[in-house]
Amino acid sequence: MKLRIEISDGLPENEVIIRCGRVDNTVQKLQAYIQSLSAPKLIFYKEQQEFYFPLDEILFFETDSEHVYAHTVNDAFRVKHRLYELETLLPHVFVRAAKGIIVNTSCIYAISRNLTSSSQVRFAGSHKQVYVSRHYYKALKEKMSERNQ
Amino acid sequence: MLLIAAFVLTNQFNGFVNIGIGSIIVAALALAFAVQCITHLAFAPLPIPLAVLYIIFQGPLNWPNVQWWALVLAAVFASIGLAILLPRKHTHVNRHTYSHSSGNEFHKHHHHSRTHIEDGGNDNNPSVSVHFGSVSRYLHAACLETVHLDCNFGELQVFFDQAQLKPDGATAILNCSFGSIVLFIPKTWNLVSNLSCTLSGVETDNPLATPTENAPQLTLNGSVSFGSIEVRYI
Repeated sequence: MKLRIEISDGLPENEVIIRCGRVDNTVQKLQAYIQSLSAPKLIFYKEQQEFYFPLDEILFFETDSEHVYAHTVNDAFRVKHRLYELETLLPHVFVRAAKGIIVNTSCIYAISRNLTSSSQVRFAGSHKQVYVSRHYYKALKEKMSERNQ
Repeated sequence: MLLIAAFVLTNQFNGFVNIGIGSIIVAALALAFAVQCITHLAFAPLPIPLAVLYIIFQGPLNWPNVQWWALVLAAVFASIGLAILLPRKHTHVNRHTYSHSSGNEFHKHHHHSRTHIEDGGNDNNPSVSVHFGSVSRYLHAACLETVHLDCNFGELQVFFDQAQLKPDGATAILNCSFGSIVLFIPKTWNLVSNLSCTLSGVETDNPLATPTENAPQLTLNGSVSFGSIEVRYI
């Protein structure tokens, strides 16, 4: 793999372009790593403790009455951002699935389509499930198609 | 009014029925009322306008002859039955609202055309109500006492694994009609089911359940009619 760094004057923001013949495992890992560098560093709270872990461990963010929770495979942590703030902060693999839910598309294992009601999303290695409302279904499907390309 | 106009015109042009103007007006009003019932998801009064329509059209359309008083009586009983099966406890809200009152009480409504999802109570006494929708809820109580779950014509999944129960146990009050409720419960918990069931399926036994001594106890109360309640141990 060739590595080339170009220095350009007047660029408002650093830009990384991956030029490849096809998107294989290595390219995907590179993409995930570069995205993780620019991802926000969130702090997760549970029982007077603060936790720091990478965003790719998050299956989805969910809000109940007033708090926002980040769900991992077997646990849930509070975050101090509102859902609409997270929507702008998080990497593009996170998409809105319902009014109160943002899912990590890279952790989605299956989507059970239901024509008459909301579709159900299941995550790899977890019992947790969420419903995608019809309003957000199309955007989620597009994101899943991008992931599989 | 448009319906009445249409009926009058079809009547004049030797249309599909031949009934008087009074019957046309009553039929149009009954039809409008039936449509309004359906659009507002109020099914209990629906048999009444349907009975009125049957009384009006049974002659002209050669439907099987039924006495008018028998139809009215049947419609009243059907309405009472539907009112019991499908209780309407909440006023519909045409927007998404959060309203906070004293303490930790909260109410949250989602209303999308047919679907109606409502959250209420507080962290330790939450309530979820679903009509014509599908929703999953994760409970995060530090000391869960009671949880009210209503599901009519919908699907509701409730995850208890992030909740801590009150030391002397918690109660889940379930009301499910023509819907499905799935409860995800840690396999070490003690589960007591007092659910009453009418033409429904209740599945609470699972070989995966391994309740431990002094484990938290969750009691299931309430009823299920024409629906299903399933407990999945995790």
